[in-house]
Amino acid sequence: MDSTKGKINTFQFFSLLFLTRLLTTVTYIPSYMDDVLLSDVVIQTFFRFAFGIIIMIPMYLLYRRYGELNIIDIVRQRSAKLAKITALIYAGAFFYFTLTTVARLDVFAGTIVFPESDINYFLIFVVLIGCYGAYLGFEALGRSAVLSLALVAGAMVFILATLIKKMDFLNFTPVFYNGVSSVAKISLDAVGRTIEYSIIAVSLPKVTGNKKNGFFFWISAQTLVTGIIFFFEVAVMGNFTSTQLFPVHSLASLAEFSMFGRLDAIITGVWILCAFLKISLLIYLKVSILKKEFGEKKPIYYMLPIGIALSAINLYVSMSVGRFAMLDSSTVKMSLTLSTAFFIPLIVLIISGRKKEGENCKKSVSSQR
Amino acid sequence: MKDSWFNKKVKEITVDDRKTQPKEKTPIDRDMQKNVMHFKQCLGDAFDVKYRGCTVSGKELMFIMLDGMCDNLLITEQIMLPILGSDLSGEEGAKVLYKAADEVTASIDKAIINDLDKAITEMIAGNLIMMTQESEFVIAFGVQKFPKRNPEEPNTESQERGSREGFVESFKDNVAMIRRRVNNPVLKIKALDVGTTSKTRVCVCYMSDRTDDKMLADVLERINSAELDTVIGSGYLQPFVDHKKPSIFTCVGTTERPDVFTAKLSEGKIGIIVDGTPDALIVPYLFIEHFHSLDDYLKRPYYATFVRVLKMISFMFSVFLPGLYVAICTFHQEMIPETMVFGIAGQESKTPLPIMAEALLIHLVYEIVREAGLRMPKTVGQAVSIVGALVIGESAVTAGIIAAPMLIVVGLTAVSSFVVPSLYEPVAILRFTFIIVGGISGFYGIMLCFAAVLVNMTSLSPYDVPFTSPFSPTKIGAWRDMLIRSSWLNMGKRRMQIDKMKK
Repeated sequence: MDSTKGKINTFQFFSLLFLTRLLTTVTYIPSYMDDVLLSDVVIQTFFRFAFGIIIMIPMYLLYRRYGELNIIDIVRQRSAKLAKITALIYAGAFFYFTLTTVARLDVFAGTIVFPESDINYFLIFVVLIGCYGAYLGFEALGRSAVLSLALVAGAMVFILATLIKKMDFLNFTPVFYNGVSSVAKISLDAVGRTIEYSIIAVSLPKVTGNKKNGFFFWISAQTLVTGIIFFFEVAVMGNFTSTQLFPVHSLASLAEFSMFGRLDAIITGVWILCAFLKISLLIYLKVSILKKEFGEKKPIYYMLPIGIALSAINLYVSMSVGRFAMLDSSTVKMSLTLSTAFFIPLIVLIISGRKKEGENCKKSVSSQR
Repeated sequence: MKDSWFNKKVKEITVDDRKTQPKEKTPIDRDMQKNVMHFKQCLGDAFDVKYRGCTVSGKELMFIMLDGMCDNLLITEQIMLPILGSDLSGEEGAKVLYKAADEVTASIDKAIINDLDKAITEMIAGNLIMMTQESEFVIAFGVQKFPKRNPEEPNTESQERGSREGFVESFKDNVAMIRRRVNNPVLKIKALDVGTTSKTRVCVCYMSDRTDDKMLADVLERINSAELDTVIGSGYLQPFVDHKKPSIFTCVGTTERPDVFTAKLSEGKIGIIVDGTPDALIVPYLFIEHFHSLDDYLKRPYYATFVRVLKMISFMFSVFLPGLYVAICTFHQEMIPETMVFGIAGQESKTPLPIMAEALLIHLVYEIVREAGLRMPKTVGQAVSIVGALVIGESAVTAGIIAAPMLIVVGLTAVSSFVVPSLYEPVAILRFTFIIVGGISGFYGIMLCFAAVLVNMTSLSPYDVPFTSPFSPTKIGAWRDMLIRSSWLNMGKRRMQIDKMKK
């Protein structure tokens, strides 16, 4: 049998993660950064790099020990019941992040794109297309990510290049003027919104190639690109950044090229492409986790309730921005990310370490006898 | 794979199980008259079946042929005259046939058949059947000659340089054209009979030193298991050798040019020639190959690269331009430069239809005119084009039904879509889809729909070769031949090899 069947290579996987993380960057809402000065917004991306590395340490150690097993497989070795619970936690986390991704797109479409129209059909369309992407599988998503990455990179470079002449370096404030703790806090908050660490925990066995290098390239590229975007944002918009609902979109609105006065549709295109990949990937992961733990049924049996639940909750949330604010809670996101990317792997690492110790002990006792 | 209810029902209705099961052999009877009777029973009163009995040296011989399918002169000169003048005495039964075939006639192409039904099939295919008393087999002589077209340059694949030869309907001629281009025994040709009733000859061509064995076995298995009654064209076989996922893109290429066919075989692909049709199939076929042509390899590399880029831009235009125009005019007017926005708005305000309906209508009319021009005789076809361009286009603008900018968009789209003719079918469907999506949800809907198309394309992986290779999965080494066109000096002995495109 072909050992690469259903697997994607490191480049495809981390391209996929890069785009899904880029979505979080281009759709961030500045209300989370209230007490942070402008220059610190740029600097905090480098703190994220460090936090990201720290978060992944337990996962890395588990990966070194178990190689081709994901976190749920490792738990299953200990107890099938615990594996089911772990699977539910991961599926729940992914479901929550899918929900907030769709909701954020809904807020954007409802407030900026179609402020006067009913966009419920658009929302359902997004979920439907997301389910379709998930149905086509991991390989298709990985390959699409590479092609999308080329398009997204081209679009971003073009937008940023047109903004160079609008930069004003007087917008920058002294670095760490309000101290380091506030910067560290928003960095941790940003890391908490990075579900990609949890995605790595469950999908690493489906990836071929040098994953360690891939991870370092990914986290470095992500830090760099986020830093550049924030740098442009601060340099071009200055204090107006914090007054915008979606600052990256506002930034793109200022871009001009020749006789074309508005280029924000390009950044929206990037947003939608990334959102599609993120929604599809998260639905795919939920389905594959549930399928593995709760029976090999056709994907549609899992996809249908997920799709209906996503649409129904989002239709309910889309009725008011207050509901969206409640849903998009930073605390919930951070708890879910930290649990699935750091604490669960850490607990599993400790338990499996003890088990191994116990096994070694038993072996040595039996050999003495 | 489990059959759906629909497929099962279709099978129940269309497939007669008795026909698909291998038939038992009908042995040749030692009584020649009984064999002749069997021929007559099977063929009825066919006026074109000729029976010619004769006695040579006291031995009864019977020749059966299909008039119009055989070369009468060849039969007379190389078979009948030598046999009639020969001495077959001293031989009995089967030995009479052996001697007549091996020592008397000058024919090279002959076969021994011990199945009466197979003998009938061979006779229908244009072979001369010779039988005698007390023999348990018959001899078939290859003397086919039927009306056929001379190789001409295919209309659908014109080239500036290179060969002017195109495939014809006779598979033997097509095979000869390929053989002439590859003077090497690595070129293998496997012949299969497909179609329960038509028993159409299908040739699977490949180069044994570079074609993946697994891929070849898969192709052969798919063709052998194709449940078809008659095979009139290569298109009948196409779905059997294509990917199995629902998609508007196909991973099977077609060509009427023997030079293109040979070039594809040299890349490790598998070619399929179907008797009776000049379109040969090539599997697997990558998306990027739609932007390649033989001219690319016959011209200077820099120009060939430029043409490839031009084709890609044309493809983008033909798919997205009308949809984007509708989306921008309906939702994102701010994207249009000020100098243009007033002109477009002025023109569009005079038309009664919304922009989306206008775009759908004019594209529908364009497709009707195109289809009419394609099916009509050439002379009338030109008239249809004139009616389409002048009467419908010009008059519709003058009458205020269609805005002039929309006509420019349609014109540009139509011209662009002919730059990559092999992608016309998906392009036409996608164009309509993007117009509708763009009219309903603007640029955002188009992006979402594009994402769906992209992931659909990337999900295709026939014979383990991703359709979007060498871009994703990324094979940078192959870009020198696929994306750009390097000089032959840099490309090495072999061009792109399909098995290297696997993930």
